[in-house]
Amino acid sequence: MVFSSLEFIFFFLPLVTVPYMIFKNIRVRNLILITASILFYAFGEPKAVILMLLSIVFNYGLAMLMEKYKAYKKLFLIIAVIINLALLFVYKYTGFFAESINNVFSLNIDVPVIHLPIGISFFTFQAMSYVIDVYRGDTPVQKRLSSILLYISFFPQLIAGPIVKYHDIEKQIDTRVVSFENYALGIKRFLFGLFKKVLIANNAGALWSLISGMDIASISLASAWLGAIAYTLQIYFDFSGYSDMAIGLGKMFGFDFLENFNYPYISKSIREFWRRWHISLSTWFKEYLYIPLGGNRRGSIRTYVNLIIVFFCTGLWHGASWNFVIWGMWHGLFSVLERLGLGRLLEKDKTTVISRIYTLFVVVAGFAIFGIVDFNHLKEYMGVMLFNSNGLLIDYSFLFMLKNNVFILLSGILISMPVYGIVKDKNIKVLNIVSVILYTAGFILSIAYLVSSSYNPFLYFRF
Amino acid sequence: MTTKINSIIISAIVIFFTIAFIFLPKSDFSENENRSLIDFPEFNIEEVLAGDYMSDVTEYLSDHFPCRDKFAAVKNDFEIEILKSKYVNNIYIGKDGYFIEDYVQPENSDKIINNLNEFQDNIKVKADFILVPTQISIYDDKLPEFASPVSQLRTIDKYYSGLSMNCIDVYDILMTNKYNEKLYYRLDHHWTTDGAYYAYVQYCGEKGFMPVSRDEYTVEEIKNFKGTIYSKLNYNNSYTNEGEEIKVYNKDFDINVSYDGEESNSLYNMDYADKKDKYSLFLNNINSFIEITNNDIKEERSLVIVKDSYANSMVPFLVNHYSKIYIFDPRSYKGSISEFVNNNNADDVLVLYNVNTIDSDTGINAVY
Repeated sequence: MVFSSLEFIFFFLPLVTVPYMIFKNIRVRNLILITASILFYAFGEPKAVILMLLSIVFNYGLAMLMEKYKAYKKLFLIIAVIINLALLFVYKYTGFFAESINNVFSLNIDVPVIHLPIGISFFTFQAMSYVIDVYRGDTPVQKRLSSILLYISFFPQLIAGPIVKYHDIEKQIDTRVVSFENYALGIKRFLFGLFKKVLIANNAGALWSLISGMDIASISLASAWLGAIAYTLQIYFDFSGYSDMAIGLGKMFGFDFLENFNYPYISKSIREFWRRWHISLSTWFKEYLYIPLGGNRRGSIRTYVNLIIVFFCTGLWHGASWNFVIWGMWHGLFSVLERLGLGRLLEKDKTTVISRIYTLFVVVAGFAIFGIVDFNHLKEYMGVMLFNSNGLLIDYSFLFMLKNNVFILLSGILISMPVYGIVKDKNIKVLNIVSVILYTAGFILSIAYLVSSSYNPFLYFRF
Repeated sequence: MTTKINSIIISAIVIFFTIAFIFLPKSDFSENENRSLIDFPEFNIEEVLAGDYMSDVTEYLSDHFPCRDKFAAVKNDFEIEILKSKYVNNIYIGKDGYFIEDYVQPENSDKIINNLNEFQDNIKVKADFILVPTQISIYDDKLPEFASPVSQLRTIDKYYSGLSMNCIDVYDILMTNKYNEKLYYRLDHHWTTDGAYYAYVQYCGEKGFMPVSRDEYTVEEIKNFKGTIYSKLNYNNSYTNEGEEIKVYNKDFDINVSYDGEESNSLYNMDYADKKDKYSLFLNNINSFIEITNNDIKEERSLVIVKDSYANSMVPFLVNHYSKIYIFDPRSYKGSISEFVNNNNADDVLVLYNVNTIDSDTGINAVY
């Protein structure tokens, strides 16, 4: 089940919210959320729900063992990490791994077809966060299984993040403020995410699939860039929209999740971009991989190696396909270059025009890599984008697509910048009323889009 | 404060539709989409485990959501009126009130050409082949600014140069007459009866027949036709509100028609004139096999037609020249058409499709 669906908004949500608000006891409330979360997951993954529950019980148990046999703490941690990664590997990377081995060694091993359970990348990372936090002594062990169940399976963040770290949420599991105020704020945030997803991401996505589906020999340079820009908007609005909805839902039930995006497209460098993009993932890798590897404290060579490792893993985490790895390395390359001196060079640009153009170029071209799984198609598409290999700068079909999508593209670009914040901070009365009208109209329009199209998948489901 | 008011309004809308959904009666057919709506799935543990049960529940919700047609209209109104989009649900919003269905790159041309050539090899007579361009090629000047769809003419050329049949071009005659008469519906994907008439004239020229003038017919006008393009757009303005008219050309033939064994003496089933799906009045909608006997023709001559629905409005003209017409819809006809042609010593064979549907037609892909 996805948030931007009729069944979620009109059935699942009221069915959870009403009893949740009636019962005041936190244990009962947690129980309601756990039940709802398991049903939520089972609705999309009726078989893998067992896998998820086993994973939760396993990680809960290992943390208990760590607490009980402190001398063997490290051993239990290693077991937990290996099993969690193995789970992820088996379900996500087996086919990819077998295919790659076949290609490299010209072998013919049967490539197994394994169904990828939705959200496995997210819940295994949350589970690992818990055991590592307990190992490090950052948080005490959680004796109540239901609390760990809720932490990992909580439906707002279960299938597409944000990846909540245990130490960030630990206290809220047992004490949190459920109020009308939070409920109202949560709804507003949820709606904002819904609009981002349904009105902008889906429309930008339609433009991208139109362009990426075009015959590559007839595509113009302008169209190729338009496609990449549309995809860049789609992926941001899709994913940050999902995060907004998750944060809003959390808020409705009294949880405070950390922000997952902070206007990434206004960055002035790739390093800044990664502080603003998918924050919960990059901080996860920072806390549980980069720093344990030594971070930047073991000399510059080691720092670059660590960065490359982190970006390789980040790329691979996004999907079992080489284009994701290339995308990760593409960002890794520019991160290292920035440390090598490009960063200082960019800082000299006081107007920030060049540094923003540079960053957007890397980001947009990077998302074209991210968006095209087929390697040959990717090569041809990049050929058009970077080298104008068709010798066709601009054509009618570009003008047609631009003209028809100008409103979506412009509003996408505008909302990618912190303009909304400027208006919000002024706190003008009239604007408040206008905002109520806009939110209501936007909601009706979103329902219209949801009713009209059964095609409404989330991009981040593949991961 | 406004945030709280906002949340109350939104919650009220949600609860309103939830309750409306639960209590409103459900219809089992959507007339606008011309399809049955799904029933609530029966609980079955295997289907639950496979996930099919849940996707059926999802489909049930969207199929029966309150004000479903209205919501679809809201979305398209928003795109056409506010976003000023000229391309909605694969329809171009053309100039002068034209709505033109898009044409997508064909994928099965080679396969279909091979199949048709094989069909030709299996029969003794030389078949005629007509691939009809759709509105997008004929009224291309009505497309919105900068629109540059995939060329149908290239597809037609490919078929005509690759087929061993006698290929009859109807593009020129349609182009010549496109401003004199309305050759395609604007709210449906078919050609009009007049469009079909010009193709018939071209066919007569090839076969050495004298085409019958339309003056010999009496015209019956069926009003308020809103076809498939209207369904896709669900867009109402002064033009679409009234719908279009379908011309039905009547002539006193002494004919017998057998629609899959059901006897009739008309080429039309006027029951459809009162329904949404009015184009289906031609040749009684979809039948796998139709046999037409024209008792007025003394000299015996037979024709076998393999076709899609474009042929349905052309047959009322073709009956002037044949004592027997056998019509096959290869999507549903499971026997061998070539065997039928040979066994019945058919004099002529006509294969007629529009360039849009030929590529996706599962029947033509398996014709033999």
